[in-house]
Amino acid sequence: MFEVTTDWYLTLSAILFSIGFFGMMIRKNALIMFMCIELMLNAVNLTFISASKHFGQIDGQIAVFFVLVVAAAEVVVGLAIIVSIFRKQSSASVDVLNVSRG
Amino acid sequence: MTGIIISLLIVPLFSALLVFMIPNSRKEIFRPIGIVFSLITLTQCFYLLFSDYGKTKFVILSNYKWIQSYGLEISLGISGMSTLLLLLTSLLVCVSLLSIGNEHAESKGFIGSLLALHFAINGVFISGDLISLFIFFEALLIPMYFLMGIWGGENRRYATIKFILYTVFGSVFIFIGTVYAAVISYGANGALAVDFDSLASLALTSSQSKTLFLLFTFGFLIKVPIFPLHTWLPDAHVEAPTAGSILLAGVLLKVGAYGILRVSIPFFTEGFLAYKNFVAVLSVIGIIYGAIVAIAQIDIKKLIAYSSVSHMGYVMLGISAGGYLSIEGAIIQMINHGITAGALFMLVGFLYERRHTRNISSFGGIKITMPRYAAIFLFTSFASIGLPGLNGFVGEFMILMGSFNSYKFLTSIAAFGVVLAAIYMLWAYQRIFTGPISNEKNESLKDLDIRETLSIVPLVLLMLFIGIYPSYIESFVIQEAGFISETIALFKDIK
Amino acid sequence: MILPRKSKYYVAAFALLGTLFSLAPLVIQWANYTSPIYAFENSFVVDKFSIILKGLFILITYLTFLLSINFIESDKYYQGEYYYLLLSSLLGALIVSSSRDLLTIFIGIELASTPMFLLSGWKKGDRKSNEGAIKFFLLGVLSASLILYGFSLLYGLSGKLVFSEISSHLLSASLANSPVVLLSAILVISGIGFKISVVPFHSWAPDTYEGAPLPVTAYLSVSSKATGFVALIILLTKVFAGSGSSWGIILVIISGLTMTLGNLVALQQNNPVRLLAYSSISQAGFILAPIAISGITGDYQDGIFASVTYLIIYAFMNLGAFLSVHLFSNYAGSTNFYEWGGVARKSPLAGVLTTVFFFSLAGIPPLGGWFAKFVVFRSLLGSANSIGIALGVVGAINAVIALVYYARISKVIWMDEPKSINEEKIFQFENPLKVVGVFTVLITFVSGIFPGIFSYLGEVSSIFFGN
Repeated sequence: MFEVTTDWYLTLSAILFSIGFFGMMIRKNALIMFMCIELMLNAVNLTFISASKHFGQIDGQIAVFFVLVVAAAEVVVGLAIIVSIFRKQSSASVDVLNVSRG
Repeated sequence: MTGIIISLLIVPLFSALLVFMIPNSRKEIFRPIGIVFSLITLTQCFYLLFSDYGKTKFVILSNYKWIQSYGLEISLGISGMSTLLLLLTSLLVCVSLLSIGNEHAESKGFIGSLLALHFAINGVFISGDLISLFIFFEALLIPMYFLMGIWGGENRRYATIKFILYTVFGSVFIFIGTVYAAVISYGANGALAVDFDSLASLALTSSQSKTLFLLFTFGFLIKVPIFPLHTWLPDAHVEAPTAGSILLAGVLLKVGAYGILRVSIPFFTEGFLAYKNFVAVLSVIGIIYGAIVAIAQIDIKKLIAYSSVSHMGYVMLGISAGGYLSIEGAIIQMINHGITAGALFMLVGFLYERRHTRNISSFGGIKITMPRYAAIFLFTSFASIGLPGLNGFVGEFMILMGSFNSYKFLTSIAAFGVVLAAIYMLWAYQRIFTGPISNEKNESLKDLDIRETLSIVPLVLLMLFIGIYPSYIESFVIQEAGFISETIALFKDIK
Repeated sequence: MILPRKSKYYVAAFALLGTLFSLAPLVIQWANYTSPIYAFENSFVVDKFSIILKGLFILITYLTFLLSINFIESDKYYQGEYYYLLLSSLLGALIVSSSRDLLTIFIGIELASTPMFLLSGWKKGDRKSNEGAIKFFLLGVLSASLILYGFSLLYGLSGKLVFSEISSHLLSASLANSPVVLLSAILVISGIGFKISVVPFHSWAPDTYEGAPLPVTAYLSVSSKATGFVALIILLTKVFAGSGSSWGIILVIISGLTMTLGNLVALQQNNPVRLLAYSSISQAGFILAPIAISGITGDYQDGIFASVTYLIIYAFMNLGAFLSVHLFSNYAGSTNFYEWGGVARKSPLAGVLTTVFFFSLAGIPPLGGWFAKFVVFRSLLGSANSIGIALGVVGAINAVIALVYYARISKVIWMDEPKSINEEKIFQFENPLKVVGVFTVLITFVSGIFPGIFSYLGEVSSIFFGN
C-alpha cells in the first residue's frame, strides 16, 4: 500500500489552487468566481494544516483560523456588493458590467 | 558680497510675492513696484560689476548644506560673465516693465510672473553647482509658461506647449547628466558633490566625459537654439507677449550658451574636443539658414526670431572654435544680441499695440507719421546687422577673427551671414518705413510717447557705448574667456 | 455608527479629532526612541521606519476625511459607516507597517483593503460604481489568495511564521534560490502587484477609480498603494532578501512595463480621473524601480530610501491632484477635461494649485516631484549596473511622455477658450478643501526646496534594515 505522506496533501492543495485560479480566469459569473476563490483559500488552508502536521507545530493551524475569519469577512463584503448589483440588473454575470472601457 | 548675491534672489522673489499680495483695487501700483525692485537689483549688479568679482572667472562664494546625508550642497558664486548677464537681465526686466501697455501693466499675474522669471534667471547665473543650476533652469519655465500661455497671441496654446516640451525634453538630458555626474563624484569623493569646484577636480574617463558632454550640451543646445532644434523659437516669439519676447530673446537664449560655457566645456573638455566640429557645422548652418529664412518672413516678429537663430549661431561658432578671442567674442555677442534683440522686440511691440498687426505688408511709409520711432528702429537695425561703431559689430568681428584659424572654410561661409543680415533688416525697414503711406490706418499713428522713449533709450545708448568703447566691456570677460580657452588648450596639450 | 441620526454631524468631527490625536503617541514614540521595540514574540515592531510610515498613513487619512466632509454631506450617504470603514483601513495600514510575521502582515493587508471594496461601491445607484467595486473586489480577493498561497508555501518550507526565523532558515538550509521559494516570491509579488496596480495587474484600477467617490479614489491611489508598497518592501527585504537577483529581474521588467504602459494609455484619456489612474500606475513604476534594482545589486538600504522618499512625496502631490480634479469637475459638471476651458480664471487659487500639483507630478523643480525623480534616478544610475542604467533610460523617456499629459490639463484650464463657464455659477471651494490644498502644496514645495528633511529617511532605512 502507498503511504500517504505530506507531499500528497501539498500536491492536492496545489491542484485545488490551480483549479480555483483557472476557474477565476475562465468563468464570468460573479458567484462562480467567488466559489473559485473559496477553493483557492481552502487550498491554502490545506497547505497550512498539512505543513503544521508535518512540523508538529500549532502555528499553521492558528494561521488557518485567521484565514477562515478573513475569508468570512470577505464573503460578507463580496455578497453585499453582488446583491447590490443584482438588485439593479438581475444578473450576476460580469459581462453585463461593461459601462467603462479603456 | 555673499549678501549681495543672495539678495539677487531674494529681492525679485520678494517683489513677485509683494505684487501677488496687493489687492486688485490698487492695480496702478503694480508696475511702479516692479520697476523699483528691478532697479534695486540693477544697482546691486552694478555694485558687483565694479567689485573684485566683476572681472574674475567663476568663484564660489557661499555653500549651504542642503541634504546632509548625501553631502549635497547648494553653492552660489559669481564671475565676470555672470555679472554682465545679470546686469543685462535686470536692465531688460526694468525696461520691459516700463515699455508694456497698460493692459499688461495692470495685471497682477503678468507683473508677478515677470518678476518670478527675473528671480529664476538670476538663479541660473549665480548657481555654483549642477543641482541648483538645473533647478533654476527648470523653474524659469513656470513663469514663462504663464506669461506665454495666458497673455500670448492667437495661437499661444500650441506655441507654449511646444516651447515647454522642447525645453523639458532637453532638461531631462541635463537631469540625467547631473545625476550621472553626482554618481561619479560619489565614487571619487564619497559625497554627491556637484559644485563646480569638485567637478573641476574630478578625473573623468574618456567615455564618461563624452557621455556627460553630450547629455548636458544637448539640453543646452535646444535652449540656444541651434539648427535643427530651433523650431520652437519662431512660434514662441510670435505668440509671446512683448515683455515675454524681450526676455526670451534677450536672456533665455543666453542661458543655453551660458550653460555650455560654464559646464560643458570646462568640466567635460574631452567630450568638447571630440564633438566641437559637429557643433560648429550646425551653428554655421544655423547662421545661413536663419538669415535666409528671415528674408522670406512677412511677420516682423518672426523675422527677428529667425535673425536670433542666425545671431546665436555666431555665438555657438565662437564657442566651438574654442580660442581665446572667439570665446571672448561669443560672450560679448551674447550680451550684444540680448540688447539689440530685446530692443527690436520692444519696438515691434510698440507698433503692435498701435495697429494690432505685425504683418510687414500692412505698413509702409510710416516714417512720415512716426519719425522718432523710425530713427530708433533704423539705428537698432544697424546695430543688429553689425555696422562698425555699433555693438553688433564688436562681437561678430571677434568671433569671425577668432574662429578663422580653426575653421577657415566654415568661418568664410559664416561671414556671409552678415551680408544676409543687412539684406533682411534693411529690406524690412524699407518696406515698413519708406515710400508713401499705403494703408490709411497708418496715417493717424502716434509717435512714441515719453514712457516708450524712456524705455528704449537706455538700450540705444548701450548699443552706441559698446560700439565705440568695446575694450571696456571686454575688460570684464578677459579673465573668464582666458580661463576657458586655457582649459581647452591645456587639455589639447595633455593629449 | 452608534450615534443617533441627528448627531451624525459630529461623526466627522470625532473622526478628524481621533485621527489627529492618534498622531500624538507617534510623536512621543519618536521623541523617546532608542532602539526598535518588539512585541508579540517578534511579530510586531516599533522602529523609526514604521513610525514615519504610520505618520504618513495617518496624515493621508486625515486629509481624506477633510476631502470627504462636504462630499458625504451633500449626497446623503451613510456617514458613520463611511468614517468607520476608512478608519478600519487606516488600522490595517498601520498594522502592515509594523508587522514582522506572515499572519500579522496578511491581516494588515486585508484589513486595509476589505473596507475599500465597500467604499469603492459607495455610490449604490451608480452602475459605474458597482462595476468598479465588483472588479476591485474579485481581483482583490484573488490577490489575497495568491499572497496567502505564497505564505503557505513559505510556511511549508520552513515551519516558521516570523520573518527573521524564516529568512535565517532559508539561508541556513541554502534554500534561498530553490524553485519553491521563487514560486512563493512570484505569488507574493503578483498578489501585492494587484494592490499597487502595476502592469499586468492594473486592469481594475481605472474602472474602480472612476466609479468610486472621489475622496475614496484619492485614498485608494495614495494610501492603499502605499500600504501595498510597504508590505512589498517588508516582505522582499525581510523574507526574500536572499533571492534578490531573481525577483529583482522580474520587478525590473514589471517596473519598466508599468511606467511605459501607464503613460501611453494616460496620453489618450480625456477623463481626468482615468488620467490620474493611469498616471498613478506609471508613478508606481517609478516607485518600484529602486527596489527592483536593489534586489539585483543587494544594496537594499539605498533602494528602500529611494522608494519610500518617492512614495511620501507622491502621496501628497497626488492627493492634491485629486483635490483639483474634484474642484473642477464639480464646477464644470463634466468628466471630460477638454471641456474645462479656462475654468482656472474662475478661481485662480484652484488653478494655481492644480498647476503646482501637475507640474510636480511631472517632476519640474522646485516642486517636490523633482527630488523624488532625483533619488530614483540616482539609485538607478548609482547601481553601476547595466540593467539599472537601462531602466533609468526607460524612466527618462517616460518622464518626458508624462509631461505631455500633465501639461495638457493645466493648459486647458488656463488657456483654452471658456466653454462651460457660467458667470452666475459660484465656484465651490469649501474651507476643509482649502486646508487640504494648502497643506499638500506646502509639503510639495518644502520637499522640493528643502529635501534635506528626507535625509532622516536615509538613516531610518538603515535602521530598518539593520534590525
